[in-house]
Amino acid sequence: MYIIEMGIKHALLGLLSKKPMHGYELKAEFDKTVGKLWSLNIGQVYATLNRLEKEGYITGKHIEQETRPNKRIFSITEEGRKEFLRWLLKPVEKPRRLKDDFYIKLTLLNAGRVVDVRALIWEQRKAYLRVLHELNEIKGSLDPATAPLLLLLVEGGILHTEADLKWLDICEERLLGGEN
Amino acid sequence: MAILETNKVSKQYQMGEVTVDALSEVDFVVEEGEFVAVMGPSGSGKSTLLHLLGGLDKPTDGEVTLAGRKLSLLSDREVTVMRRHNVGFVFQFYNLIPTLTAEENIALPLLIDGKKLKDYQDRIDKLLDLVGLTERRHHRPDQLSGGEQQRVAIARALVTEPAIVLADEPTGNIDSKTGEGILSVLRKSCDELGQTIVLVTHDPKAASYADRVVFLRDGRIIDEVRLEGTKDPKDILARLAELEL
Repeated sequence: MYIIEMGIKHALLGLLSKKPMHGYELKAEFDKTVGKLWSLNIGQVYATLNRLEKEGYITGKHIEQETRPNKRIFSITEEGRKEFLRWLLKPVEKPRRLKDDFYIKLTLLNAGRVVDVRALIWEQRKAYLRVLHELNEIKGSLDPATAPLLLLLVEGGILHTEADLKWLDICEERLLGGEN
Repeated sequence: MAILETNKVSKQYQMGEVTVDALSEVDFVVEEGEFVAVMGPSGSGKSTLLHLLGGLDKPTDGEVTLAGRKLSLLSDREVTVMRRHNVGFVFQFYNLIPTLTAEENIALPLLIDGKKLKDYQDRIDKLLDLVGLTERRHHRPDQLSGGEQQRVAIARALVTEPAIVLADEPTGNIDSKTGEGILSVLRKSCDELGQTIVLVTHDPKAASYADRVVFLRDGRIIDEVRLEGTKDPKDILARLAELEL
């Protein structure tokens, strides 16, 4: 998933800035935090750790174990800490969903002339309403005391979906004009 | 079971020499226990529809059947009694009596009906709890916020256990955060009391609290959508991931 591709490197750096860990430990820590939302397999963890090591952001140390295979404990380097902080402080500049799939459909609509723009907008509106209904319900089921961050995420989702619905109103008004 | 039904309902208004079709042959069915939103821009006919549903106005053509009774067959007086027992209204403005407390405002429909309040104290307590105003039951409207006043109005609409609650832009006059509270109370009254609700609104966010949304344009129902929530709370995280929030 997109977010993972972009964020996994710094997520792992962030976890290692708390304490040195080996691969499976890292995966468990990841699962405990963001991993609930974005699943990550152990292969991705090791591939990313390799990359981070090559870039000099972490170092690995072999630990010999008698009964089990040897493992490597990874620690963050000074360079790694700097890189994590740089990423943390840099604002996220990509506006969400600017290249919305629905927009792409609108631009391609004229190519086929087989689909009615009105139908396209209505079906999209219904889909967003279903999402909004679900998010309202999820929001209602979350306890602000135990899941404050998740609640914020859901509230963000609600605001974005509301904006998507308003944008559809504008699409309808502009593209269909006085027709309806 | 259908608690409310319209059969080819039309409403025309005379504006000077011009006849305006506010509603054209609307077929609309509300099942018992359902929360339905009627959504449309201003001028789409949604308030006209609500007035016809609640017997506040009569259709030019067609029939409205409420709780099994055809409204066209009733006298004006019978419609008034029917409305008092079977319909709870919630409007954009709260229409509370300024000299009465929250609790007394909620009890008002019972008093008008000549009921003894002590027989209904349990119900009033339960409603105060549902709308979250137990602590503020003795406050007068001017001591309550806009959102709290609207919650009093909702409890007042529910107190007669009406067949249907009709709500016309109940969040139109309050900020969005307070509006969410109002909509949650309506949702709760449907989920916990099985209250049937019809909400008319222009606001998709308000409509999204309903089980079903009916779209009105130029006096006609042009489409509808059924909304379903996440059934299993354990799936919430998986679902959020799917939605790529």
